[in-house]
Order: sequence, then C-alpha cells, then structure tokens
Amino acid sequence: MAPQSYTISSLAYLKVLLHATKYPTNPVNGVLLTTSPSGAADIEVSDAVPLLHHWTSLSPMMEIGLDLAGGFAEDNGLRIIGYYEASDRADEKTLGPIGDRIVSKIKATSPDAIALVLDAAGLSMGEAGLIPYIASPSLKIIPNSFTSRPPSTRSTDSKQVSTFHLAAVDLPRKALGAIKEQSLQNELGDFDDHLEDVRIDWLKNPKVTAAVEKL
Amino acid sequence: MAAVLREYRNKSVRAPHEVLKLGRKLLQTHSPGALGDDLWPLLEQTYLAALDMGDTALAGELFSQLDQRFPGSQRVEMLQGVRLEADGELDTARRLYEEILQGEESNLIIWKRLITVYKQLNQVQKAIDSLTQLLDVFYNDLEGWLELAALYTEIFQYDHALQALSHALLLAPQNPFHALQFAETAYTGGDIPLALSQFLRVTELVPSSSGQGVGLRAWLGVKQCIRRIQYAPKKLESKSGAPGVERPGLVDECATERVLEAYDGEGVCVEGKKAVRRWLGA
Repeated sequence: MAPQSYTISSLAYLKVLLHATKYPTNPVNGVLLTTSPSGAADIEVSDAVPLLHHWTSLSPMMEIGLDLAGGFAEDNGLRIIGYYEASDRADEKTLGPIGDRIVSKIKATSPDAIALVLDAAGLSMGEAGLIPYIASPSLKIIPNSFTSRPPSTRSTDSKQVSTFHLAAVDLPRKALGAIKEQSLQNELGDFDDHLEDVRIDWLKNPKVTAAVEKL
Repeated sequence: MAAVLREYRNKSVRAPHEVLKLGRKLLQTHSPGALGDDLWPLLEQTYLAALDMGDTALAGELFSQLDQRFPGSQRVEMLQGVRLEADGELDTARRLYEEILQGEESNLIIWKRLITVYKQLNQVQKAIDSLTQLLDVFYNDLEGWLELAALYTEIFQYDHALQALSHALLLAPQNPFHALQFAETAYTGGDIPLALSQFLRVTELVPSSSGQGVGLRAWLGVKQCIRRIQYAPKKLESKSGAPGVERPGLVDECATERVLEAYDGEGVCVEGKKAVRRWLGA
C-alpha cells in the first residue's frame, strides 16, 4: 500500500531551495533522504543531498554521486527516498527524462520513491513551490498538493492518493527570508562543488543544518 | 571605480550586483563629459546589469540615453532586444533579432542572442539549426561548438554532441575541461571504451599535482568505466572503434590511488572521504 503522507522537513526543504538559488542559471538536482522505514504509512523526508549543477544531462558523476549518497545514507541509518530537480527556466516545472530515469532507479530499492520539482513561479506566489510525483505503481504527478496539514484520521481506503506536507506552514516564507537576508545559499555545497574543493561537505552541509534551527 | 568596471568589460565579467552599484554611483557623481570615452560603454554595461537585477526604471532611463546618441544603430537594437527578453517578451525579441539578421547576416552578437531566445522558448531544434548555420561562418567560435554539444545532449543525440565537441577539441586541444565534457558525453551515450580513453586523456592534460577538480572527476570517471567494463555480461564494444585499455586492473589500481591522494590533504570533508573510500572499496 502506498504511504498515506509525505512530510518534507525544514532541512530538506531549505536545501532544495538553497541549491536552486545558488545556481539560478543552471538546472540543479539531488536526492532526498528519509529516516522512515520502507512500508511506513507516514514518511518524513528528513534531509536532502545536493548533487549536480554543472552537467546535469550527463550521467557519470550522477551515477557516482548517487552511489556515494546511498553509502552515506546507509552509514547514517537513512535511505534514499527520492530525487529533486530545479530547472533554470522559471516556467519549467515538469520532471525531465533524466529525473524520470533516476526515480525509477530509486524505486527499484524503495517502492515508496518520490520526486520533487521546484516550481519557482508557485514559490513566488507564496505557495510551497514544489511539485510532487510518486513513483509507484507508475510515475505520476500529485496535483493540488501541499495544501493542508497531515490528516489526523486514518483512511482505510487503499486507493487513496498520498498527500504531501511541509513540516511547517510558514517554511517558504522563512526560507526565502534566509536567502534574502543572509545569502544562505552561499553556505551550501553540492557534489560538483565538492569535486572542485574536497573540503566542501556536500553530504551534510553542516552550516545549513545549523541555520535551519534558527529559522 | 571606473577602472574596476573597465576591467569587467574587458574580461566579460558579468557580476550584475556590483556593476549596478558602481555604475549607478559613477553616473550620479560624474558629468557625462568627465567620463569621456568611458561614458557609452559604461552606460551599456550598467544598463545590462540593471536588466539582470530587474531595475527596469534605471534600465529604461539608460536606454533612452543610448538610443538618443546612436539612433537606429544595431547595437542599440540589440540592447532593446535584451530588454524585451528581460521583460519576458520573448517572441517580440525573437522577431526583432530575426529582422536584424535579415539585414546583416554576419552579426555574431545578434545570432547568439537569437539562439538564447530559441532556447528560452524551448525550441531546441531551431537553436541547433541556427548554431549550425552560425558555425558554418564562424568555425573558430569555440563557445558555439560547446553550446551545440550541450543542445544535442539535451535531446539525447550523443553522437552529434561528440562531433561538436571534437571540433571544440581541435580548436582548444590542451583544454582538459572540454576533453572531460567529451568523456562524460561518451559515457552518457553508452560508448564506455571511448569514455575510458578520453577520461585517461584528461588525466594527462591536467598537472599531476592537481588531485582536485578536473583531475579528480577524470579519475573517478576512469574507475566508473572500468567497473562498467568488468561487470558487463559480455565484452563492451565501442561504437566509434575506440580500443580497449590494456591491463585494466593496473589502470584501476592507479585510479584508486589517485582518488585517495585527492583526499589526503588537510581539512578535507570527513563524510565525503568516508563515502569515497567505501565506494572505492578501500
């Protein structure tokens, strides 16, 4: 049975947003991590690992980055639950073919896999700014998402569609504030950045983790 | 202030935030006569920065000064087009550029703007056609070949992308970055033996001391290619006829060593190192 709900943590949300903001003229992508076991009814997307901004349509570093992030997740009691991407074009908010391929790869080990696509236009209108997709049984977009809090009552209808939520309703506003006032995007590094300078901690991004507590 | 901006112009540095700040100040504190020959380039530079930063009021003001001084000039028409692009009037900008090119086919700047607009309009095939036409005339335009490769990659035509990249490599044979793009494209297109030989070529182009950046990417690529070759159920043939490497085991060992070396320095990211060691099986 598909999970009932997915909740995006402040940390995961902030990292996705910072990644897109740091490289506004490039497409960017990365993976989403969770502490929730496979089969859980409510999934918390707890963290994100930013991967590429350089050649997002080329696969070698993507494959290696995925492997490395997977190993990191396993060592830390997490698993890869999904993939995210943001286009360099503000009007583009559909999952591209590369993302499609990566999500099906994630689905092979995590049937509850998802994808999130940044919707910059929606974000600027005060929405969550994320378009969610679920991978099972086949990849499909979940329309009208991020509209309400997690349901408090359990539905027994097995055909019910999963719902998506932010850990806090005012998260978009706070995240945009941190970008505008502190240029927090400059504290985030992805796998491409790490390959340029191996001192950059792309797996944990500790400075972003520290900032999230002060949001 | 004026010197910094001149330097940015000469080196094509965009830095719109800073340019806007300095340019605005310079224009406010100096009379047009005092700026001399710098005035018009400075106006143009500040105008473009204002568009980048969304300051449409200032952009409009600067544009009318330029337009008054050089009425009907193609440069000013181009600047008008950039403004249309910034305002999201992509179709109008496209028409403007196409019109200018009908009058003067060899205007490289307008060609480039038009191709950018096609890309923004998601008309990849049109962008490819225009670039191909452009490169027929300006073969030496390295940036154009790289862009053509990126466009072909976007529509999964990796063989065409590799062809475009081989022109780039002819024009700049010593540039490890282009060779790296070639290798990663070959890998993506499924020609692993070709990718492997190109990743190895990259490692020869970068100074041996540099274990980071291009070098590190290339060694990781080497490793990944050899894995693909070793785990393949049958021998991987190269579409392009690239020969396989001799003694892959030895090359693999060398790659492992070089990757580990990159993580030897001080202050390297601990988690990153751990993940890489795990990946290497070291």
